[in-house]
Amino acid sequence: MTDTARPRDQWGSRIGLILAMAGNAVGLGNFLRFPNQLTQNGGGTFMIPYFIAFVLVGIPLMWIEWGVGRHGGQYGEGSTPGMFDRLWHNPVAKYLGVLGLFLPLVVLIYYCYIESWTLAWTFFSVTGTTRGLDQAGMRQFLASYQDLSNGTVHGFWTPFLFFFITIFVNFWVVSRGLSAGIERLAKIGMPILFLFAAILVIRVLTLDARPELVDGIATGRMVGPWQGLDWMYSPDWSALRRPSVWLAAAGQIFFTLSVGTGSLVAYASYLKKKDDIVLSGLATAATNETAEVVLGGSLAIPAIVTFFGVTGAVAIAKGGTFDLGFVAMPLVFNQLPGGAVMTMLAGVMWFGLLFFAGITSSVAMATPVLSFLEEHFGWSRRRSAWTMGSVAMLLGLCHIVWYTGGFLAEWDYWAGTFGLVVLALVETILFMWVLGPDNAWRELHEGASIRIPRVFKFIMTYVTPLFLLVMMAWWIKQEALPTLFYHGVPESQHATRTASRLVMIGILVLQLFLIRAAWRRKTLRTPTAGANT
Amino acid sequence: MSLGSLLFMLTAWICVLGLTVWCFGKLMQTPQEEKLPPPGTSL
Repeated sequence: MTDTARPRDQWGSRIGLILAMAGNAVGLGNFLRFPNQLTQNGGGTFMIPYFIAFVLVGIPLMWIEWGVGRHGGQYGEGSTPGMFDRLWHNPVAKYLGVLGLFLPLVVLIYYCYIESWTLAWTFFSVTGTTRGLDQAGMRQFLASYQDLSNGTVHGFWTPFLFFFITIFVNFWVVSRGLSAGIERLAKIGMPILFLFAAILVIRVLTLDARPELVDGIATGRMVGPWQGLDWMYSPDWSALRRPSVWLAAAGQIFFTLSVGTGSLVAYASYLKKKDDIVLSGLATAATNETAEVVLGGSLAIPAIVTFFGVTGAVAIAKGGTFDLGFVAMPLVFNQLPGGAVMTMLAGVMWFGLLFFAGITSSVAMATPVLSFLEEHFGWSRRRSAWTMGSVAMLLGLCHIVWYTGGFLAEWDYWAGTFGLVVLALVETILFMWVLGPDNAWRELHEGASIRIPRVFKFIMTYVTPLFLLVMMAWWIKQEALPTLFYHGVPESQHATRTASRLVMIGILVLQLFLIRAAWRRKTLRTPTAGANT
Repeated sequence: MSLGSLLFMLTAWICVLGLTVWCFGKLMQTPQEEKLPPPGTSL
């Protein structure tokens, strides 16, 4: 329970809450990761495991996180150490909750760095810096930005400048509080994001077909956006027999909904006991899916196929999501009919929408740690925000300096991929098993606008945790062990990657000490409240 | 565009758009009061 008498923030309106929650979920992955996953995992048939995972994992986890959050919020707890302590009266519970502080902080820091690229590319689009570059030039443009020792294009300070601005904007927003900061950002940012995305989709889908070129030689085939969609959704039924495709679909659903980051539970903790979470949670998930499937799926790949053909798109897709977003898309904009003005407008809209998608997610990731500092140490929102902002800025410098050494890749794997599944599993077990399925069911339906079909009680109790366990086991076998032992990693990166892991361990240990200190403080102030320490 | 691709794409779009429209339709049927932040919050 909070030690301070200060009233907790509240959401100003239901639509503001849903937009903020959807803003948390809609991120760079909706526009960059999803189309890549679709093309590499069976095309149209990928949508079958994708929707199955949405029903068995995505929607249940969304409800579980809203439920855990609102339940904790009734006790004045806005972060997982306190929430878990309330769900499971065991001294270990609050320490398990460290995951809900550690993961969002770690992901927030490197996410802000990537978000700063979108801000930088928005600026470059306005100034026309990337206009006229060919594919090699565009790659060099990105490589020089990512590698400080490669000063062929950018000055040494350029990535630092955009990172500082991004961090400042993020923490300025969160320092203003829930309603005046985060909710207002969502109310402005989300409509802009959808508007930009819709304009770009219309422009892309109305592009004229062009002769396809492979290595500069005409194939005699005409390609346009609809051929791009055809290629993306072309069904490959054999993909359904590959377990990796099912896990890729579950992984995509997991990441796109931002479950397991600790941010959804933190947002939900600001709800009142009788506020609906069933319909609002479902609306959040649905909004995210619209942004991903309808808008995200109709942008990058159709545009790239139009200008580079299917062969070129295959090569670009294999280059990864950053190549897709920061190399291929600016090349597409350079070739749009309408000259420099259209190139600039399309660039600003594309990178602007990515920036809004990023910032509405990153402010959510800042919330759990801020709530923890406010509620357990009595810090003001401003003090918490600017202290955390300073920490994020300092640690973010490591990503800028050692990006090419794999510093960010380590954080992305251990915290941004593997850790999320662990936290989601812990939340599911605590809510559905420790609190109990009947209590959890009652908790979810407090003030609910709709009733959840009863089959979901079974799914949430048995199927969702089993699905998460299988995902974890598969990842440990396929990825975690090779990643742990640096399989396939150049030896030159080993030192940087080890340092990266040590910094993460340092953050984790520090947060464990903070939790211990918070509970000791609570025991000293209200002896009965610390019974679980 | 081939029929198979078109069917998969349209089905996916109809599913997500249908769910979104249904959710927001339900939300509008059950409006909640616009709540003002309590006085004294750090805004």
